[in-house]
Amino acid sequence: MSKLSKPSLELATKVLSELEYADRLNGYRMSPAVGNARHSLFSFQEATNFLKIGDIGDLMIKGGSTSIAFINPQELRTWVDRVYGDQELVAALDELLATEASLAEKISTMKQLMKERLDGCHAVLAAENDNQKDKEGHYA
Amino acid sequence: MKGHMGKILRIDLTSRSLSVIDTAQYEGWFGGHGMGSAIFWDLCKDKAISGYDPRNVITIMTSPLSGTLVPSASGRTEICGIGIQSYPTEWYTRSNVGGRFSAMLKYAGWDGIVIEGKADKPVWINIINDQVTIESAESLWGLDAWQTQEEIWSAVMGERNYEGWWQVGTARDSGRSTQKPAVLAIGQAGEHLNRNAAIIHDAGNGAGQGGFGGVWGAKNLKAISVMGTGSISIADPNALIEARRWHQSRQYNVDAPAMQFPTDNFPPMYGTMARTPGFAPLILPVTEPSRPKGCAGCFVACRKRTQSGYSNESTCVETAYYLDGGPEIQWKAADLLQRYGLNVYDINIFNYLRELNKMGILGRGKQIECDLPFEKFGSWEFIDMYCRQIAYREGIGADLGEGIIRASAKWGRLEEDLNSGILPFPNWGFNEHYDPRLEVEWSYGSILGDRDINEHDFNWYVHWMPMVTAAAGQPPAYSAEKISEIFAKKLSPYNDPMMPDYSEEGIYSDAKIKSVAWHRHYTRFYKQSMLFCDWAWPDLINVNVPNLEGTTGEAEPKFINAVTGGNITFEEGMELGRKIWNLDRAIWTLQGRHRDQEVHAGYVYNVPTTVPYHLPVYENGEWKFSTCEGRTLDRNKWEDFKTRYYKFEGWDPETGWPTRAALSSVGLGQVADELAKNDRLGK
Repeated sequence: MSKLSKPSLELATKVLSELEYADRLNGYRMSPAVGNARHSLFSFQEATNFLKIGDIGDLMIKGGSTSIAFINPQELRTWVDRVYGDQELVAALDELLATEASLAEKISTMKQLMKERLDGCHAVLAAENDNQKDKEGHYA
Repeated sequence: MKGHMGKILRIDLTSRSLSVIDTAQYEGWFGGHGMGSAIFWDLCKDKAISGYDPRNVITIMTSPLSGTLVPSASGRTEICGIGIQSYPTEWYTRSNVGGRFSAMLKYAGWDGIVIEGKADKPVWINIINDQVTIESAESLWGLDAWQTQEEIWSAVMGERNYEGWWQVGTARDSGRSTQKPAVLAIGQAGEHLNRNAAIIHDAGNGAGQGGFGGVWGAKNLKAISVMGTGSISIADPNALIEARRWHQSRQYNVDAPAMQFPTDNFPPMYGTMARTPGFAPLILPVTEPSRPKGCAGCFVACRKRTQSGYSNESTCVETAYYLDGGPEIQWKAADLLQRYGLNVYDINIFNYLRELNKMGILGRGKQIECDLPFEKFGSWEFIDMYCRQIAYREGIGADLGEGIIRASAKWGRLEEDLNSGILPFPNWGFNEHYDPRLEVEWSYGSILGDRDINEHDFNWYVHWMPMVTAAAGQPPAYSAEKISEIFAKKLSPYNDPMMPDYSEEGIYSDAKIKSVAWHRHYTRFYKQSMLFCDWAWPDLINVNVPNLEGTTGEAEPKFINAVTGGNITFEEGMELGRKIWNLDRAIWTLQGRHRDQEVHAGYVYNVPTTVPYHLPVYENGEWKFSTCEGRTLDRNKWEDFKTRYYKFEGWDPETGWPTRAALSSVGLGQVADELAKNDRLGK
C-alpha cells in the first residue's frame, strides 16, 4: 500500500543524485565470524540497495549463513531530514520508530519506504524527460 | 607419546640440507603452537629480526590428534614464525589452516616441518613418506596457488587420474593411496613479498593472518607437497571411537533435532549454533547443487563443494568481502583471493578506499594516485583489477601490497584515520573483527598478543545468538543468566559466574581478567597446540541437549588421552596453555614489547558504538542482554585493567614483561635466564 505521495521534481533530482562525502550515510553489515563492518553509502539508491535481511524463516533456518545489512533507523531519519528535507518520508520513519517492531521488520519496512520513494522519483524524472522531449520536438 | 610420529623435518633452504629433530625432545609441548614456539625459541637465535630475514624460523606443525578420528581436530596445521603483517613491530605470530595437510604429513611419518634460511632460487619441497627432496620451482614461479598445486600433483602422480588407487613413489613397499598429495602453496602475492599474502591449501584453505605467504616468498619457497601412506598409532582405539560416538550423539541430529522450529522442522538455533551440516560458507547463498565438505576427520563438514566449482571450500570472510555485484561475482571474488594467495582481512578495505576517493584524496590525478574504477565498484572488472594490482604490486597495489596500515602511514593519514575510525584497525594493524569496545576478550586478547585473535570461543554464545534472535523478533534461545551459569561450570579453573558480564563495569572487572586469561590459555593449548578447530570448540553451550551443557571440560582430555595414552586433565591442559602464553610473551619481550605499546587504536576510545550489539550484562542485580549502544573503552580503566591483568599473570606491571617467578612456575626457568641476559626480565 502506497504511503508516499508523488515527489516534487526538485526532491526527485536530489534523491537520484550522488552525494558528497560529508553527506554519506553509515550502513553496517552484520555477519557471524566477521562481525559488524561499516559501509559508507553515497546515494539514496545505494542506501536502499544496501538494506537487506532474509525473511525471518530464512534467518531462523540459516542463521550463520545469512547476513544483516542494517542502517540505524534513527540515523536514517536524521539523514533523510538533513540531506533531502523529505518531511513525508521523515514522518513515515517516525511512525516506524515509534513501533516495537523487530530489527528484521524495521529493515524490511525501511527498505519498502525507500524503494517507494525511489520509484516515485524515477517516475517523476522520466515524465520530466518526456516533457523535455516533447518541447524539443515542438520547437524543432 | 602415542599420536606422534617421532620425527620433525628440518630444512635449511640456504644450504639445501635436511635433518631430523626427534619429536621426543619437544613432547612436553604436545604439538602445534606450543611445539612450534619451543622450536622457534631454540633455533631462532636473534628474535628481533624482520620476518623477511633469512634467519626467520618457520614451523609448520601437526598435533597428536592430527589425522585421527578426533572430531573437528584432525585437519588443522599451525604455522608460526616472525610475521610481516603486524604494525609497527613484526611480531612473532601464528596462523592456522584447515584441510588435510596435517593429516597427510602424519601419514608420511612427520610431526612437523621447520624451515630455515633462504633458497638462492625458487624451490618446492617434495615429501613422499620419508623421502624428501628440494625441487626447482622456477617453472612454478608466476603461477597462482591453484595452478601450482595442479602442477605439483602432476609432478608427483604423473599421468595417473585422481579417481583410483595409485602406487606412491618408486619403492615396492611405499604404499598405495587414493589421495592427491596435500600441498601448501603461495600465489603471486607471496612471490611479490606482500605483507597480506597467504599460504593456500587445496581450493579454499588459507593461512592468511601474519603474512606468511610473503615470508615464504622471501625464502624463495613456492610450495610444500606431502604424500603419505602410513598410519598413526593410537593408544586406545576403542576409547577414541567411543568418545567420538559420545560427542557426536550430542551434536545436531538430522533425524530428530532436539528443538523443533515451527516451520519445516528446521532447528530454531541457526546453523552456527546447532552446527547443522554445511552451515558455512558464511554468507554464501549457494543456490546450486552442492554438498557438504569437511576437513580431515571432521563430521561437522561446515564447507561446501558446488556444481559450478565457484568458491569451493571457501568458508569464511573471503566468501563475504565483495557482496555488491551479486552472487556469481561474490563467489568468483572468493576464488580470486585463493588463487593469488591474498589475505582477505587486509584487503577488505573498500570502504576506506572509497571514502578517500570521495574526499578527493585518492583517485586518478589525486594526492594518492589510483586508477581503480570506483564508478564500477561492485562489478567483476573492479574486483579483478583490484586483486591483480595488489598481488602484482601494480598501481595502487604497490602501496597496498605493504598492507593497508603501512600504506596509510605512507600516505600520512594513519593516525588521523585510526582516531576517527574510518580505518577500523584496532590492534597491531589488523582489521576489526568483533567490536573492540564491547566484546573485549577479543580486543584485549589481541592487543595483549600479536594479532587479531580470530577465536570464536565465546562469540557464538554471547553475541551472535542474542543478536540473531533479537533481529528476528524471537526470544533468545537461552538467557543471559544461563550463559553465566554454564560458563561458571565450564570455564575451569576460574569458574566465576561474572565472567560473561559485558556491562560498562563488567569489562574492567576481576572476573573479566579471569575470562581473558582463560581464553588466552585455552586457545594456546587446546586450539592452537592440540588443534581443536575454532568453529567447533570449545563446546560450551549446546542446544541439542536438554541441559544445554556442551562437552568442553570432559571431551578435550577424553580425546587427548585416548590418542596419546596419557592421563592429562582439563586443568593441566589449561596450565600448559599458560606455559605457552608465557613463552610467547617472552619472545615478544625480546622483540621489544612494552606495556606502553599495548594500547588500542584511537577510535576505540573516541568513537561510541552506534549499532545494536547484543551481549549479556549484569546490571542492577540481574542478568539480561543489552544492545550496548553508545559505548567506548575508557583509557584509564584499560590501563588499570592491564596492570591488574599483568599481576594476575605474574608479569611486571611496569613493563608487562614476564617475571622469573611466573616463568619458573611453568617450568621456563631457562627462558627467564635469557630474558635476564637481555635485561628484559620483569621485576
